Amino acid sequence: MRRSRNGSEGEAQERAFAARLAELWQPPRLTPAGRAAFDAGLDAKLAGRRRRRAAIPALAAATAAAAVAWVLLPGSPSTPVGEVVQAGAASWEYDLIYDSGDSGGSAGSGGSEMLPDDYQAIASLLLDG
Amino acid sequence: MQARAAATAAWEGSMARADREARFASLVASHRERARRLAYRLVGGDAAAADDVAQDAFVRAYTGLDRFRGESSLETWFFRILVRQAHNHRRWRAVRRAFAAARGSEPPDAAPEAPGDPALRRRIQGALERLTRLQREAFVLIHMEGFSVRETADLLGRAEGTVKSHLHRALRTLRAELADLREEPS
Repeated sequence: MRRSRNGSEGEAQERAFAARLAELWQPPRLTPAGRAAFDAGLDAKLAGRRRRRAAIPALAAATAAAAVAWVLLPGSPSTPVGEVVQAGAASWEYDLIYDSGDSGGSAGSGGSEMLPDDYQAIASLLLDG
Repeated sequence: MQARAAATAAWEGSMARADREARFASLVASHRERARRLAYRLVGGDAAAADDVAQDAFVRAYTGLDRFRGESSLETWFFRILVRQAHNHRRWRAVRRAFAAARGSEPPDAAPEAPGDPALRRRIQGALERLTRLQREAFVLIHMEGFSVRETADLLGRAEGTVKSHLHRALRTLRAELADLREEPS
């Protein structure tokens, strides 16, 4: 019986202690102006969230379009096969590969004049007999 | 026929939106003050941060209101969001403080506008900050906000026995640290 009374006294003391702490540890109550400011802040956050959510499809579409353009449009950084051949090659080698049609198959044409001397010699031997 | 179905669907959609807006407005009106107070007590006595946390919790509740299925009360569901939001705020604040300390600058102290004795407030703040997260949350929710042990267990996602245990330890620590507050001032 005494233990029960002590227990309930202890609980009452605990409640009183907690109530005292709660009284001391709380924010100032909102004034009407404070309530309006709180609601305005909340509305601004909600509006910002709505704007962001509305922008998501447009951003996704723009990103997809940019990715497609990156891959497909000429001048994009994707590397065609011919340029791999060109990389590191001297200009006369490039001309040899791509401008052979302009030479018309004749060693005496303007295109073959660009060939080095030893190539000119081989071309003369093969083409002119 | 199709036009009538589309019109009905549009009307139902607008009614659902109106219902949602009305429910949300009611939630804010009825829980604004308590949300601020709970946030204030959980984030450590910073009124501006408490407003921020409460607003963020309302925004999250607004976006999740359609998914609320009534498995718990709307109040419990909302305060669960708020407690998590307050915890996230504390974590980010700890990161910001660590960053500021590393740069050699201190962030400004909180809650200059709170009522009462500033020295006493700092003591209470210090005592609450030294509790573990669960001890602090259990103490604030049950002893300061009046939630039951079962509601608090639901809010925190813990067993009732765990909540009671943390509450007991919190109370023991606070009574030891703030013994002079146990008696009402005459």
